[in-house]
Amino acid sequence: MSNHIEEDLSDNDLVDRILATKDDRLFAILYDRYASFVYNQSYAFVGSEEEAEDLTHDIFIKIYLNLKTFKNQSKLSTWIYSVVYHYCLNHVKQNRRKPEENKDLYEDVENIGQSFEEEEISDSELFEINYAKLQEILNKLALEDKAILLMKYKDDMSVKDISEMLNIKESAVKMRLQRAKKRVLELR
Amino acid sequence: MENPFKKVIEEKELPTYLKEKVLDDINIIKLTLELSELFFVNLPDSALSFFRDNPKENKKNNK
Repeated sequence: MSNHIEEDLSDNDLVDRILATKDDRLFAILYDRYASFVYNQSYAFVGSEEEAEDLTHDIFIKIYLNLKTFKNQSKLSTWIYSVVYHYCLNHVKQNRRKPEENKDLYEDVENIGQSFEEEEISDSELFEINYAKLQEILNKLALEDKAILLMKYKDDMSVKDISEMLNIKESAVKMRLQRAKKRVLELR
Repeated sequence: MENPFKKVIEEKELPTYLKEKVLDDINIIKLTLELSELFFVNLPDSALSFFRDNPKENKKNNK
């Protein structure tokens, strides 16, 4: 099969062929498709180009080693996003002190969905904030809050995709989003 | 209304040398995994099947 045809393979077919042949030329095609995405997502987490490079390298090694666990149940992009999210989150948690002020937000978060009756915050309220101020606010947020807001509003992920990625219920995603939005408005 | 989230993080260009480093390291990992499989799986399996399938050897062992 020529290189040109391999480059035209769908993500799922490409993964199947990498697993069957262990051909690093095929993995290079997967790298070309997702490297920029992984690098920019890592940069969004850590805010340092050098650290994002190291993370991108380590994440691709992890993707290579764990590719057989990708079951074609979700899109490859969602699976890779999930690897990036969890890897970066662990990296930041290990290397930086978690902001104490947001500690309470995730206590029993899945169990209090039923009693969460606050008024929904509309997207337009968030969009009124100018991007420079928003950048400042995002840097003050807990990493989980920042990440879920970026997934929803920067990367246009659906609640269903976020739910699959974080392995939590859709209702929990909506609640986390609501809480993150509330926190943004408090810091405005 | 414009979505300010689209502008908060500027797109960064990925350094090209990173690809070579990733693929080199993957080749090293692949080689290490293949060698491990050879020494810890294939060779012991071959040795076991040699003794199991060699009747002369089995007879000697039984004596």
